[in-house]
Amino acid sequence: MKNVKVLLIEDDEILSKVIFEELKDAGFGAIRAFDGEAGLKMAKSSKPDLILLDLILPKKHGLDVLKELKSSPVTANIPVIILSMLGQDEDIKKGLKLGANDYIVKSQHPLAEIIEKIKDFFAKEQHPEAKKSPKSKSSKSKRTKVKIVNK
Amino acid sequence: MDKTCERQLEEYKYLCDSLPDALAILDKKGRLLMVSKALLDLTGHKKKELIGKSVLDLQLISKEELPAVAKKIKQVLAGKKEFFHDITITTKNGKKLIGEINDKKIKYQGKDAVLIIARDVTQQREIERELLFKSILLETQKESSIDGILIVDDKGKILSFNEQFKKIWGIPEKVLKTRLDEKMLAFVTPQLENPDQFIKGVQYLYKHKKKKSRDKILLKDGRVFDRYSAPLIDPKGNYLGRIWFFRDITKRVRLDKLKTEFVSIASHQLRTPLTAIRWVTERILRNNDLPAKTREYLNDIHFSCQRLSDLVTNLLNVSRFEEGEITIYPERIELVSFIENYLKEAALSAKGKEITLLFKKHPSKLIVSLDRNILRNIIQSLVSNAIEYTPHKGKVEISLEKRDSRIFLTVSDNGIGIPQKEQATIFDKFTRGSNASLQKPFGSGLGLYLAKRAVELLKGRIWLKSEEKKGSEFFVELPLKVKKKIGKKPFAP
Repeated sequence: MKNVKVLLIEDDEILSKVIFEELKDAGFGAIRAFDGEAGLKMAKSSKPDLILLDLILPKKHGLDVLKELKSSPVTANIPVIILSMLGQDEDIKKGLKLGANDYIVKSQHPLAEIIEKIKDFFAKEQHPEAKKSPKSKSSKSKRTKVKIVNK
Repeated sequence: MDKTCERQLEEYKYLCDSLPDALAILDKKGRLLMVSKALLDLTGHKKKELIGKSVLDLQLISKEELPAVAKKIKQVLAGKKEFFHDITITTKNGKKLIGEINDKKIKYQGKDAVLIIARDVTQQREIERELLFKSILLETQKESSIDGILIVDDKGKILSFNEQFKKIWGIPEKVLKTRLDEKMLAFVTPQLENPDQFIKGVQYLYKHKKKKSRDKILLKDGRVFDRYSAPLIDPKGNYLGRIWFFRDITKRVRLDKLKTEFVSIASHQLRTPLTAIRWVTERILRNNDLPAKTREYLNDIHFSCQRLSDLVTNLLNVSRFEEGEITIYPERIELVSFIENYLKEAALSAKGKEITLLFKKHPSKLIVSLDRNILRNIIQSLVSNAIEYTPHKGKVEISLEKRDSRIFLTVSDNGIGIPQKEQATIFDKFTRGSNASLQKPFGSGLGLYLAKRAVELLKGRIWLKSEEKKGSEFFVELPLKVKKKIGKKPFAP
């Protein structure tokens, strides 16, 4: 995945660091920006394959960044996944209308799942028919026993 | 006396006796010269007990009122105008009545005399007193109300209003004095944020006379009024007019908005650091060389974050329910794997407890079209409760069934159960079982409340069977699909 460049635009330093390191560990070529303006500039200059875009950003709101990305021919085709927090449903809706490809509610997912989602995204991009295959494996057994023994 | 005279007298007597009012004629000394039958009925006396005696001696009139009565008789004889007054009459058997008396000077058998016409007005006076009381009560209620009140008749003429009404709309006295609804409307509408809608509402109610209505009115100056209107209808069902109540709810609306904003901001502000803690922990936990104790502590941190996060979600959902309509966004979901995936997560959170979590009976696949977040909340509330309130080495069983076009989900445990008398209210907001509070002092009491609201959003039913110290069994019935509904906000996952 080294040849896949992901631009992360996220202002919270710790969240940014964790996602950034996770992306690198997963083998993506990761670059990052901490505010809307810098993110937009970086998107134009380094033309990433995917942008992970937080919504509440200093200097320029994520939705404005998205609008500008989609209106410039240089960046209009770069897929965007919105990184949002719970409670931003209205903004997510607006974002999807503006042309975002997907969204992730940060607080809702383990970190690993976010990488899964990005990987899935590229898998679907390459194999459009894969979209229809169910993600979760359904168990055929009538009895699923989850025995939990901690310690 | 000649015959004509005698006949006239007979007729005159007959006439007197047929009148419903009691008649009596007194001479100058107050002695009764003539009494009609109605007077005998009124007083309970026989004719011979009265004729020739003075009304002042007869104890028909109470002692306190005697001087006034005597004075009036004198004044009438002296040529004063007739009088109308009430006196208390005591009948022969001691009953007290209120009599309305009319004194008049006449000539009787050639001499000056007083004609008294008496009428029993006891009941009438009682009704009048009651009416007066009621009208005072009504007036007091109207004036002490925090609502601005306006009453108009069936033609839109203003019948009544209170000070508060004048005050909140700032309507000048001269406008109200016209008593014309349209003059007042012309004064009110320029103050409104949305006058057309207001006028439409008023016109609708004047057309649909028997309708009640309640809505919010926004004013240009930022105030918000709660408007309530009801028709005035008499017992026969005739429309008499309409009453309007206006209550200034600006403060309440502002507070509600602040509260909602606060919850929303708080939830956002809490979640960012929570997510950071969880994700960092997650990354450290991936290191296989961690000492056992370190791993345990990190798991504790991770688990606590999850709990906090769930609590924030619940609070957010409660505030969304209170805000109003919730969006329902159905998606195609394979329910069996949906539940299995959740159970894997739940298994992790059953930390420190040895509990058998069993997805006991279910079809191999079950496709539904329901809202993912709402569905997850239902399953999560029930399963996490079952795990929480089931002791070490306990058992939590989940089963899923499809019957006709409904799905039936059961979550049962052999935990502490819910006391019989608390079962009816266990789905209420901020309500917990008394035994649950003993086991775990701090719980939000929101889980089952939200689960019930969530089930109802999906047009389903939820109920339970439980016995204290033996366990609980929660049943959920849901349709296979729900219709999409656009509300204000979605259910937070």
